[in-house]
Amino acid sequence: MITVPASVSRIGRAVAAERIRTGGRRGLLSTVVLPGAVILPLLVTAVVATVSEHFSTISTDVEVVAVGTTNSVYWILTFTVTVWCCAAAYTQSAAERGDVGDLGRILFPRSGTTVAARWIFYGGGAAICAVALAILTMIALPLFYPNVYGDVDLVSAEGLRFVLTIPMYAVSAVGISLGVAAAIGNPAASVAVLLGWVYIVENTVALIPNGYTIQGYMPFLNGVYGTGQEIVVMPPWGVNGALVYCAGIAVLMFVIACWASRLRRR
Amino acid sequence: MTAAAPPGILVDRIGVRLGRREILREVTLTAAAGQITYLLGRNGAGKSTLLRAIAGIVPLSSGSISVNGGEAARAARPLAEIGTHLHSDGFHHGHTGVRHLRWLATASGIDQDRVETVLDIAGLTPFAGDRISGYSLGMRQRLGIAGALLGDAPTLVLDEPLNGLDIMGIRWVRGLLAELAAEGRSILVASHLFDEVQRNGHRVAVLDGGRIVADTPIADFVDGHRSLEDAYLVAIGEAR
Repeated sequence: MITVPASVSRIGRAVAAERIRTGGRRGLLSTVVLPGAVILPLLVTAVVATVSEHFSTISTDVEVVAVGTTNSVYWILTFTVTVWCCAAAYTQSAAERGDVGDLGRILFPRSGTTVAARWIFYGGGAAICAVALAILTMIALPLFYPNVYGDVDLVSAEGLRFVLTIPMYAVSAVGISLGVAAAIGNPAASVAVLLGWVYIVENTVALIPNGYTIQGYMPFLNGVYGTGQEIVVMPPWGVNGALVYCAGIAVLMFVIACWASRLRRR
Repeated sequence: MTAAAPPGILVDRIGVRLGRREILREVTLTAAAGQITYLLGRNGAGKSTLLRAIAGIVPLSSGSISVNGGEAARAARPLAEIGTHLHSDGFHHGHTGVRHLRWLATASGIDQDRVETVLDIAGLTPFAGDRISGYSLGMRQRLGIAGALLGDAPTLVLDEPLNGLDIMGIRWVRGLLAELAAEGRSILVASHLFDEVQRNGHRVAVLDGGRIVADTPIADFVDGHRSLEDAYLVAIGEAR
């Protein structure tokens, strides 16, 4: 008979508990993740595709450039993964604070248990959600918007790369977010810092002297670049290296999250 | 009850520091099986810190604590070893009562059937689907106690569980604690309500300035004084 180590059993319980904590009609998954990570990116993708397709058919004066596979899931990468990251960061900070935090400490005396469980739960959720939406997008776009998105192909090398790499990026991004949240410790501040970093710092850092070089080290942009998405960023290690770099930063941030969480318990 | 070792809490010369402050010094205390031990002390004496240390939340700077013969923080399923209700506000307020208990049960590896049982014991079944943010303080106390009962633990630690309860709630807790003690459980309760202490307590421990200044059966503690209150004031050096 195979016995499951106690630590694995505890992580399994923590993952299941996280599902109950965030579920329900009024839970985080229904009120934040569903609208922000599922409906919003699909809506933006559909609106952009509809407008592009419309312009491509009504006028010969306006040239609408055809979109290839490598640029077809941009909004999924932009919104879906980030919203899952925010959900993970918010939960990590909120669950470790105050009276509720005490309950968490009784249930899971080792701080690493809850951090690992959240990485599994939110990372897994982000990975499944993002890759499912990406597959749906790559199937639907050429079907409904053939003029502009006719070249998008799920079973092309680029499409299959997305299927493999988007989950990797999603899991890594959530790991980084947990580290940020554990270090900051305040739910609202964690989300604000995360959004500011992803949407402002990583994009505008290119404007400072040597900015393009620095931008090549930005973890989220590396992850997006590593999926095969077309973006203007020049990491020094190529596409696969960028994905590995992002994953490496995630592991580092996970260690920081465990360490910070342990320190807060003292 | 599920634990093989005899129920009970053994606190052996513990010290607790929070930052630079020494909260508890050389605290020794026993909460035996089949007894309700009341922990008394003025505000800031360290009662809550002691209960949190017993629950494994606060690290010790010295000494040791044994719960049912082991360390609470090392238990595979902590809520099955020690049932705790330490805060009247220790909930995710967006949750319903039943979701809170299901979360606790899942996290602790406790059968989900226990959720309905403890909701019933706490008289919360009609309100189980309501959000906790709409609960009164008394209902939150009942929910917290329900959470403490979830694991059917042989040892219970409760921090001022009567605050905010109406007279029916107080009578309910009184009866419940007596019943649990009669089943052989060890119960440690921090309280300021001396009437309740005298009604159903077996033993008192008085904490003052981070030290235990009395730890004795209630009858012995009161002996020679007009009341429990007088005995307490003498113990903490406030008798006039």
